Amino acid sequence: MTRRLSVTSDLDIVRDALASARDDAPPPGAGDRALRAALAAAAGASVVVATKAAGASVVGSAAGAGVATSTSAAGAKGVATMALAKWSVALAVAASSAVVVVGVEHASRPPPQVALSASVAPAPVDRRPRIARRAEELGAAFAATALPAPVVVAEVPGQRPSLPKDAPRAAASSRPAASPRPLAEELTALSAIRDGVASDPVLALVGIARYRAAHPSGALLEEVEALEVEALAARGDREAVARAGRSFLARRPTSVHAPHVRELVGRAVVERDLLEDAVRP
Amino acid sequence: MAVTLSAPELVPSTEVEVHAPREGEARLREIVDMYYPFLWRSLRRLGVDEASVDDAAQAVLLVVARRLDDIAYGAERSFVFQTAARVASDHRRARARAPRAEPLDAVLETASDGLRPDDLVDQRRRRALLDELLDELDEEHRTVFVLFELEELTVTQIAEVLGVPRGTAASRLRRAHELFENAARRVQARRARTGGAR
Repeated sequence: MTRRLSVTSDLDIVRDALASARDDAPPPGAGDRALRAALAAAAGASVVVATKAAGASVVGSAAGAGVATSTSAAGAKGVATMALAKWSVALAVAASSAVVVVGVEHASRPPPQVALSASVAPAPVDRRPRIARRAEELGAAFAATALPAPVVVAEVPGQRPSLPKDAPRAAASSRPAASPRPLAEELTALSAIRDGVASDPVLALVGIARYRAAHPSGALLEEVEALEVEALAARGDREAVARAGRSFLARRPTSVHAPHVRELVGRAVVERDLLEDAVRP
Repeated sequence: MAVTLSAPELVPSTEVEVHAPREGEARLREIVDMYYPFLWRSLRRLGVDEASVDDAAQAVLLVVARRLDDIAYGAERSFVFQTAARVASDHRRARARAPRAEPLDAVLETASDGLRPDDLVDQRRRRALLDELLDELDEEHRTVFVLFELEELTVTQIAEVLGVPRGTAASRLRRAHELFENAARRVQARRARTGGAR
């Protein structure tokens, strides 16, 4: 029978070193904190919903712990919680700028062939680069949380399409009450996640789980999801990159991050196939 | 007890299936109650620094929460440890890429069990020595060594936890003992040369 070094070794430093670990323990309450965080993250995580009849898989983001739990308890996993991520951006944008609302709507739908009624404004085509639109969206969301309502957020000069004069005000008045803190917190979290992707992808993934739990429909969810794909790529987890990346692209085909995510997915798939070829007998 | 788990993986939460809340929550709670200290110590001894160990433990629990349905009853410890080993391995690789000093706050926040400052310093020195010696072992041997010497599992239990034959676990352990003692001798010789300086 093998005996322990702590008993058999004639070296003091071996016995000392091993003995030092004997009373090493997590700080009080650490387990409870970790459990709460894991439960919150699991409940607030995105949910895969397989729509078997259509033969397709739809991925959406749960609205938060409460929603995910109640949906699950009802036996209809995640069905009611789909696609909220998309609207989180849309809502944040709608709160501040009708210009971007039109842009987002236009991006996801073909332009109408016929005006429905005289009172409906025609959907102007926003021809700016996507990155400019996203930058404005985020800037608008930040301004919307930082300034008292109702506020019309500044548009890009010379690019404002012709909208009914009351459109921005109407959009602003429907804005949910927002406090400046959440977005500042989101920005801080995003910054930490971005740093983590470069230095320690696992901790970045933890940060992402925490972000999702704290901000299930956060204004920066799109950026965080893109960083998630990047963190997985940094870990070398090719299967997960392919899954998360495809999910991202399916839900956010027009995202400013889509080209980068597409590239990561492509690289992961190619590397995986090369590896499989290499080990095939 | 046969362990039938595949190597745990960290995947994005886009693939999370939400479990029946009460059953899943109760089981997760049970796992935390039973294995959190084991998980925390394992992460530390597998090379996760103090400042990061809570986050790393949480990373493991996120995987456990996500894979709850895949974890056979009775195989929880094995799953927790294998996931911890993987998280720790990632952490060590990341630390090698971007080494960082432990923030003083994290050090000061750790439980000191009411030790006097001198004792606390001494305890920290001995643990730093342990980390240094363990760092001399490769992943395979370090894992077996930690489970045997520090978690006091038997060789048979280690074989179960790692999902390897008992003979493999035993030979890894023998080699791990040699590596650890050799490393200790080198440290001792170095100390002798430098007049006992640590």
